[in-house]
Amino acid sequence: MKREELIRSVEYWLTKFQIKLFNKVNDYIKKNNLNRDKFAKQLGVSKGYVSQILNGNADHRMSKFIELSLAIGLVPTISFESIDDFIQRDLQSDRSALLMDIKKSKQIVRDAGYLLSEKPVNEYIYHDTPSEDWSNIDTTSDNNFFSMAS
Amino acid sequence: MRTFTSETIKAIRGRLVFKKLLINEKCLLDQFEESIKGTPYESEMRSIYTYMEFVANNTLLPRTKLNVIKKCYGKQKCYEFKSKNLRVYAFSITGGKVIVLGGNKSNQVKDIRQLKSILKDIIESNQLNKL
Repeated sequence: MKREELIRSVEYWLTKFQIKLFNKVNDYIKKNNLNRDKFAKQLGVSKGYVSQILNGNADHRMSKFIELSLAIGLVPTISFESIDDFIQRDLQSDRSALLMDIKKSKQIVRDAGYLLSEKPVNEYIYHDTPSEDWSNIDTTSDNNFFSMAS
Repeated sequence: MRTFTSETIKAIRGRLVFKKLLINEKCLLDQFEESIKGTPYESEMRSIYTYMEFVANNTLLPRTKLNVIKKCYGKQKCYEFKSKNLRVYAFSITGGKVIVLGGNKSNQVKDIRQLKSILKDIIESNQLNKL
């Protein structure tokens, strides 16, 4: 399954909606020490309706959904975005998450007392002394590209 | 001996990593997805992927969507993602879950037996930490 195929599907958004609604109603029921029966009575709806929500299968009319939101003390806020913009943002957020992970990993390695390069990897690949030519490395001068963790 | 490897499932984004299991370089999940292509089950599979994304983000799912199979092998738990007609089976690794196989509800007993047998093989051949 491709990420884009998933995002462009009805099932992805419907399921997101159903599970978010389940979590909100479930939280409300727990917080107020209710059970399905009591909650149904409080709302003036059938037990079956509550069960559908708590099973993550809610697929009701908009008016019912708004009624339910208000009954649990919430207002539904809805926003719309172009699919292409969303997919682009989704892709970027994944990349930035990866970068964040790399930075965190570097910090952990540094904290553990390992030597770590501050220079981007591609600079090493294209401009640095070939690793086999050890004789050219100046070990006496300060090397700005390396730092020792405290 | 069967060789077990895994690949990250790129369709799922979250704090936990979701991977699919490869047995001798063949993926049972991919095979199952291929088998339901063009059928109404394809849409159910997309719902299951969305359930997996909720789990990847540590969000609670109703019991009707995610079932825990206790003591799948030793103390290792397994997980069953559920839609109306489909089931997808997984187990936990550090920082995520590994999806083993998918199947129809009607094959549930047989699939769980297969899941347990695969997990047993992975653990007994010390390949769990390679996934």
